[in-house]
Amino acid sequence: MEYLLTTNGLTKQYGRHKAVNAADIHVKRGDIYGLIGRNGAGKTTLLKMISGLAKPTDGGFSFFGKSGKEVYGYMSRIGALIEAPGLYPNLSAAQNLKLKCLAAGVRRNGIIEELLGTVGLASAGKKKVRNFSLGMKQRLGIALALVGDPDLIILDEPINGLDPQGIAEVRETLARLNKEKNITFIISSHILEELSKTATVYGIMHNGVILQEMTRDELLEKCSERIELKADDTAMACTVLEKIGITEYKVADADTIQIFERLNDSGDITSALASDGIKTLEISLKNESLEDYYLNLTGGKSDV
Amino acid sequence: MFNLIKMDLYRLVRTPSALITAVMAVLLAVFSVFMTDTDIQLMQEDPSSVSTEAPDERQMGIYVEADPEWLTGKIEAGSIVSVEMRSGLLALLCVIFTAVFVNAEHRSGFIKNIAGQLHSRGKLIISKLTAVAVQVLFMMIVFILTVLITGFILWGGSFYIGSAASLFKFAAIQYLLHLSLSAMIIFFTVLTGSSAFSMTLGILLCSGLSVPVYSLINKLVYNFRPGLGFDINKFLPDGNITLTGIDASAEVFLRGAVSGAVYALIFILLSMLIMQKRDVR
Repeated sequence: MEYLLTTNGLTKQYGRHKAVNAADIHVKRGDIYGLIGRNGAGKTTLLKMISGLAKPTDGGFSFFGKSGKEVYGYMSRIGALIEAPGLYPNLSAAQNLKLKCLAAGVRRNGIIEELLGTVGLASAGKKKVRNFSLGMKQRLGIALALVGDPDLIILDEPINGLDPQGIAEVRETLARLNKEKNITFIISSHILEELSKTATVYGIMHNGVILQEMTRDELLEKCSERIELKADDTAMACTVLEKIGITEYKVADADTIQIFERLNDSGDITSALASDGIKTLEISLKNESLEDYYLNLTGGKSDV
Repeated sequence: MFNLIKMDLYRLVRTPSALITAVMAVLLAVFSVFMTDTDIQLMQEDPSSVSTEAPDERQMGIYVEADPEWLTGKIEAGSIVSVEMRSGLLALLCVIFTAVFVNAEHRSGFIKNIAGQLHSRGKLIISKLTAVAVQVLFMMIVFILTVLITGFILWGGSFYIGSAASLFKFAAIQYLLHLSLSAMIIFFTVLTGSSAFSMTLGILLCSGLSVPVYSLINKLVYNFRPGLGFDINKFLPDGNITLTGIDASAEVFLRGAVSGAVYALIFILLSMLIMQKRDVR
């Protein structure tokens, strides 16, 4: 499969502490990749390495299929907003954008107005950044990341500190850019509920390690409402389920069957199993949110 | 590279610190020439206070020494520009501007928008140095012109231009020395990530508060090699700014030019190395 970006054992070590430990992520063109992890999980460090702001201690990444020194030629195709937006407070929004355009060698007439319009700051171009709200700064930061029409934009906690309206505006902007310009995004956040509304692919990070990567569909499947059944004979239990007309089920592991239909018929299921001499060890209705899934995976409950 | 230079020049003409330091250069030049005029008047009133011998060593503090020849009624433009510039007043402004301008990119976080896309981050130092060089040149021109205009207003017919070639040569060497001092400030700003540290260091150097340390080093060297006649001031940018006057010998001019160029080169290369190796925070 052709990926726009892949990392290969990307590691960043500070002293004895590995902030990022052999991280492998895979991002396809057009993805909105949600990087999930609690504070201190290593998200920012990983994103800094991908955006060229920090050097990996070990491992590397490939972009457009290029890796090693070859990748340097393609770094201008990456736009990034890491942590807080980096803006000169004494300059206006347009002047901040002009600086980035000059640095990137972008000379197209009207580009600054176009970028300001894209992020909904068309009327604030002449306003000094020091008078901007946090949401406006965040959107200007996204506009800066858009300079030079990058193929990949990396946004580190882009909705941090925003009010609900600001969050909705940023979400809308990202969705539009993804759809209209086919820009690929990597977005990190610890606000899982919000990320679940935007991302199409997820990478779950914990203690510097990427624990799991999955598509939105895979996640929905994992988080969908279901009956989880543990029986003493899984194979026989499947036969019984089919005998009583249940076909939407999946054997999750050697002991567990996930049933996705007739969710109110737990009693009938256990009776049917019992009449065929199969012992039900456990039966429960599961309905996990992304947050529950994350917590179960990382084995923690705090600061997510 | 040229794109980055364009970026920093664009910022230079819009940053308040460039304008403030240029205005301060005008004000300090006017103030200093007025103070020199007061000194001349005092010397005229009390000729016994006139010292005909220049001090052997560099003195502590910022001071402008009036030339006893000015009591004859003729004041050469080059000599007044020389004493004003050697006082370290302009160097002080260069240090303040450089620390503020260079650190602004880190302090605001703007560097995160551009550094990742550069193959060689060291280029950012070259672009900063270019902008600083332009501002130092601008401040120097403003400073010299203000000294000349104020001198003409104060002394009228007694004030004459003299040798323009000597003035130009002196200004060129001092420009190189001021630029090397700025390069040193760039280095310490990049190294520490703090404009406060580099600015304080620069101000201390320009104010001559490093003189006791230099004297100690000179004495230590003298103890080991008495015949060497070693003076560390001759080998440092701040020392050379003070020691290189318009009437200095060719040897002093050469030493100033070489030390200015060498220090500028060393500090810029070190700054580029740090910028290239260190992660962007």
